[in-house]
Amino acid sequence: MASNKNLDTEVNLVPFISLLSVLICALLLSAVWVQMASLDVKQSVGSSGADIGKQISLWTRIDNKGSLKVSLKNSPRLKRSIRRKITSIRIPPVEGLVDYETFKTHVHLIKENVPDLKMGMVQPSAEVLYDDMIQVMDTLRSEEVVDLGVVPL
Amino acid sequence: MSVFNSILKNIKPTTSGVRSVLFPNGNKRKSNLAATVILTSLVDAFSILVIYLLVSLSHSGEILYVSKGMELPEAAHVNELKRTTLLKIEDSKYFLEDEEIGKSKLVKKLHTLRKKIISEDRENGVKESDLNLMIQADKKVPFKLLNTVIRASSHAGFDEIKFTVLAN
Repeated sequence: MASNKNLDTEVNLVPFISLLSVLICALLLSAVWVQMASLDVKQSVGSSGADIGKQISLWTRIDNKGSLKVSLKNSPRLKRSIRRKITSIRIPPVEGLVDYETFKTHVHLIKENVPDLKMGMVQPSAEVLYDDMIQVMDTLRSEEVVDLGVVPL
Repeated sequence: MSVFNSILKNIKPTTSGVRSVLFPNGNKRKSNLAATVILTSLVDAFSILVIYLLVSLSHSGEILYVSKGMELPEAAHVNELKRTTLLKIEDSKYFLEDEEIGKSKLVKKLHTLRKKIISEDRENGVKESDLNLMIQADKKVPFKLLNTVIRASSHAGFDEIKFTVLAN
């Protein structure tokens, strides 16, 4: 006698969906929506001062009005035409704000002519905003000037 | 016209009347009242959501609370956050590990803290850890407030300063 049993089994998805719902809720609660990070700088003065010595270094002075004075120290021998362009330059502000675009272009030019440049010193004035100081350091980092220092007042 | 004639020819009369070609057994539709929910697409959506959240989950496990109203500056070329001694600047006041400290006592406190870290390392048999100071401040804070901290940390012997930022 042939039995007409239905051998097809159906997977019950309801518990699986419950599990996924709980997992999603837990992950949403613990998710990190804002990534925090740090910008590390070496100390430039004191007993633990960074070893500046005769290393090629790029000094960036930020004044209260937003202008930047960029000067290259201990640079190697360069052609006179290039030396004039990159050794010391003043970047005026744009509408009262620091001109990061011109600064980045200038640092890029210096890096092209002085590939060994790794050290950058930032020298902000008293009223310079913390954000401006960070943006200058970030711009230096973007051009692979990785060893950064902050010069205190 | 020929189609109409062929339909008329195919209609067979029955006792109850003429039978329809389209509905020969009568227009009786069995309505199924049970609705089946298709769960497959829901499971697919949930699975993708779970996988996305698992991938974007932070692996560092570091927790750093940012005070209400404090906006950290943003930067793109940053280092991974590693929890060290935290010094916050809020409303022109200094907070070392959530304890308010006067400007004049900052060097002394940092020096004491440094000694404590070194002695703890010796007790635990840990090689002297890097003495780093993490600074957290609003992006509108003027540099003169940060200058105090930088000088104090330098005098106290902290090697490195970590400025807390939001990663772009």
